[in-house]
Amino acid sequence: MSSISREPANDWDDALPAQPLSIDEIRRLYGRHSPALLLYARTYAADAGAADVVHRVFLKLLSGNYVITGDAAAYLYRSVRNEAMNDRRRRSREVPFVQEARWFSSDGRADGDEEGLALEQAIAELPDEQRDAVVMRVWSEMTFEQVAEATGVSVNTAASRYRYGLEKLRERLGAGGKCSRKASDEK
Amino acid sequence: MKSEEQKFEAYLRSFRPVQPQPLPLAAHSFFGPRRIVAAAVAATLIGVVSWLALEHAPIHVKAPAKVASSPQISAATLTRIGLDDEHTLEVRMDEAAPVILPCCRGPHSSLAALAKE
Repeated sequence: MSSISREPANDWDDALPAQPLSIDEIRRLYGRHSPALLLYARTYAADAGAADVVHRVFLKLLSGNYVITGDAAAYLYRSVRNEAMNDRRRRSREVPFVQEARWFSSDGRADGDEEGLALEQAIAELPDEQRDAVVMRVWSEMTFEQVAEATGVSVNTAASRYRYGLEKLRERLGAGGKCSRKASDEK
Repeated sequence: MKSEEQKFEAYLRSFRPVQPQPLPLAAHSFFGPRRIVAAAVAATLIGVVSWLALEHAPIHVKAPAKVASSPQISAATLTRIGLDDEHTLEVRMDEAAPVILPCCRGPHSSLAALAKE
């Protein structure tokens, strides 16, 4: 079911004003969440479509015909996921699903692409629900309440999905080596 | 345990997701602030130019009425007199002036037009 509506969908949404956002508010949301949303879209859509997916979601908001009910970040993630799934279905009929673009910027990292590639691989191998929680929590810095709203589960479920996902990432990245080394470097 | 989790979160955050292209706002801001300001400036300019054009429109001055013919003296005659005798020229000029020069008291005279301005 689409999360976009002109009327509040439930009692929780009643607490928030249901009105189109201003351009400045949309810009602010884009500046804050678009890198993480692009990463999120890349886990669902092909390379070619991921950036378009994120842009489409924001352009719909700019059109003024859509309003956000509930938490804005949660709404954005739900919308990007819906758009990405549609994009993936559409493209699967045309070209094979291809992922070549880098998910993470290597700017300023001494280790270059190697660790970034390992992280991409580890994220891609996570179950969808765990990956969603990790991306939202780590790179959009959302609360568990927001993650729960975005994924339609309870706060406890969102938190446990996140912790399972985080644990798997640590195992796959060999966190005992690289992460501990970085932590000791910080000291 | 919590501390380990936070350290790992910090480690993950040290990887920055690639930035997407800037949002193509131009196509969706037809009535944006810049366009509104530009339209206001254009409207003001058109108004000012129109007002100036109306306010400073040229005044149509009718040509002075022709003076009734009277004993006229030509420029050539005056030149000849001037060459012969300056005093005589002044006298003849004084006599001819009211006849040759346009009347300055009529409603369509040059002085009347200047006085209006």
